[in-house]
This record gives sequence, C-alpha cells and structure tokens, in this order.
Amino acid sequence: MSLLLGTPALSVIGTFGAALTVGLKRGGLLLSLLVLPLYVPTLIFGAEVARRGMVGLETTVPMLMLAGITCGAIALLPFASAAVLRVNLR
Amino acid sequence: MPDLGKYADTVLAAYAVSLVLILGLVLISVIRSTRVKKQLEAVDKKVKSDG
Amino acid sequence: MKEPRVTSLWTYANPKKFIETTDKLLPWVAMLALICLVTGLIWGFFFTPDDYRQGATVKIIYIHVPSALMAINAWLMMLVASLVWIVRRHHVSALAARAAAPVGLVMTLIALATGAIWGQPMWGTWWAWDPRLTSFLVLTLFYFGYIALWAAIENDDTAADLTSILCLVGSVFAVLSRYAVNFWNQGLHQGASLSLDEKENVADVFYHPLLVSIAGFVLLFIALVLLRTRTEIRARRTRALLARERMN
Repeated sequence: MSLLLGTPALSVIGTFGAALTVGLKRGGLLLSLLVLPLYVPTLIFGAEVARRGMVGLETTVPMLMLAGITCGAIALLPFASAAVLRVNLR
Repeated sequence: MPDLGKYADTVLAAYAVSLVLILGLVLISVIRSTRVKKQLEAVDKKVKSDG
Repeated sequence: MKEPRVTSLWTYANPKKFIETTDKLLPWVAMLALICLVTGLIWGFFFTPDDYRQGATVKIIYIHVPSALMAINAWLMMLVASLVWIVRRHHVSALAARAAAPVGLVMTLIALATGAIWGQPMWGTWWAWDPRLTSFLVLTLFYFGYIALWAAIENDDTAADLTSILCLVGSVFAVLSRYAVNFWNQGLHQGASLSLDEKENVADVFYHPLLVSIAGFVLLFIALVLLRTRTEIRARRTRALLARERMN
C-alpha cells in the first residue's frame, strides 16, 4: 500500500532530476545526488508505514504524510520539470 | 583552561572540528579570491593591449 | 544605464557598483565578525559555568546552535537570491546564491559534527533518525547537489536558471516535510530542545554569550558571501573577456 502511495512521487521526482541533467556528460551521478534528498521524505514515511504495518500498529498517520508529500510533489514537480526543460532546450 | 571534567575530549573535539572547518573555508575563499583577481587583471591587461 | 533618481537597493545589482561598495564594506564586516566570534566563543568557553546535567559539554552550544541557525538561513538567503534572479535577472543575485552555498554547507556540516560529538556522551549515540537530524542530513545533500549542478553546467545563465529552480524545489520540499513532521511526535531533539532552549537559555549566563556567538556567525556568513560573490563576479567577467577574445 505504501508503495502505491509513494511511487508517483518517486517517478515525478525522477523526471525532475532527469530534466535537470539532460545533456550533461556523466549526468548519472549528479542525477542520483540531486534526486536523493528529494526521495528521502517519501522513503522515510513509506518505511514507517511498512514498519508499523508489520508490527500491527496503526498506519494512518504516516500514510497521510506519505499522501501529502506525494500530492505536493505531483502538484509542483511537473511544472518545475517543464520549466527546466524549457531552459535546457533553449 | 577551565576544568572541563570528564567531558574534556568531547568539548575540545567539537571546538577543534568546527575551527578547522571554518578556517579551511575562510582560507579557501581568500586564496581563490586573490587568484581570480590576479587572473582578471591579467586578462584585462591583455584585452587592453590587444585593443 | 539609466541613473536611478532615488538610490535603491537595486543599484548594488550592478556588478561594478557591488565590487566598489564591498571594497569599503568588507573589511569592516570581517573585523566585526572576528570580534563577535572571538568574544562569544571565549566568553562561552572560559567564563560560563557547567551545566548540572551535561557538564562541560554544554559549551558546545556556542558553536552548535549558531551553525545550525546559519545552515538554515544560508539556504533561505539562497532562496531569495534565486527568486530575484528568476524575476529580475540580476547576475549579482545569482552569483551571490552560488557564493553562499559552500558557506551554508560548511555550517550544516559543523552543526551535524558538533551535534554528533555532543550526542555521543549525552544520549549514547552519534546519530538518530529523528526529524531534525534527518532534515539536516537532507539539507547537506541539497547543498552538495546545488553546488555540483552549478559546476556541471557550462553556460552561466543556464546554470543560474537550473540551480535557482533546484533551490526553489528544495525549499518547497523542506516546508512540506516540516509540516508533515510536526504531526509526527518522535525524536531525540524533542526532549533536548525543551530542556536546552527553554530552561537553560532562559539563564542569562548562557544566553548572552550565545547571542554574541550567533551574531559572530551571522557576520561571518555575510563576510564570506560578500567575499565569494566578488570572486564570482570577477570570475564571470574573466570568462566573458576570454570568450570575446576567442571570437576576435
């Protein structure tokens, strides 16, 4: 369940990173560096959901956090990625 | 030196690491500033003499 | 260039004017920074008592707190400078953001290092995945990424554009995470900040040298950013001149 909530955020973040590094030689390493801090909230809340689920505790709060981050990411990053691509394709 | 008691190592380590980092940053910034300034002066002169 | 009738802050957006002004300003800021830093740290280190519970380690507060504050404030300054670049395209602003990043990074590293060194005897651990510590680790990564992105892009304007977008996105994520975490009640700092910030910082004997120390760190940041922005301006001019030479 946490994977389902988190995946859209991860893919949108990945796209943003790719847009930033498109056209750079050896951009792969830079891509990982840029994308990693953006991944962290999603990963942490996702892990928390999984952990609580396994132990049998209530998972509502971290799931809400995860959903919030995902929504924020999906709302913001496509615009940011588009702006970045516009710059890079000049 | 005040009596730092059993935490002497801790406090001194923290201060030492911080000072090294700060001094390092200041030194790097100052050295780079001088180097770049000289480079600009050199290029400026060259451009003026090339007309 | 049209002359502004009223002197506004924007006259300093002119690279030449920026360098001329900071020629006079920088020595004073640097000197003031040194005075405050030395005063604050010596006062705190030599002339304050030990804490009842934490012993002499409380003296680390005079470095840990100011550096943590500056780590955040540096990113905020970069955010403002990035927005100014995006809206008004003043190169000095973009270069100032670039100049500030390594300073912010060092502040973050100092905060993390002093925190870990302090934490080991106090709470028996160098690290914990609590909100504040994790967010500082993330901030470190953002600084590294930002600096690396500037270095990776050849065209100055493109680099300025992309890094400012990165700064914006990073800031939004930071704010989002902050709100998320406020609902999440765990963390090493929760207990510590209550005891340290409220009970102890109320004690003037600790508070006053801390204030001086904070002032010192702020001034140090300003001095370094002014110095480094001058360097960036000159570097950019050098690149521009060399490029023109190659075309002639």
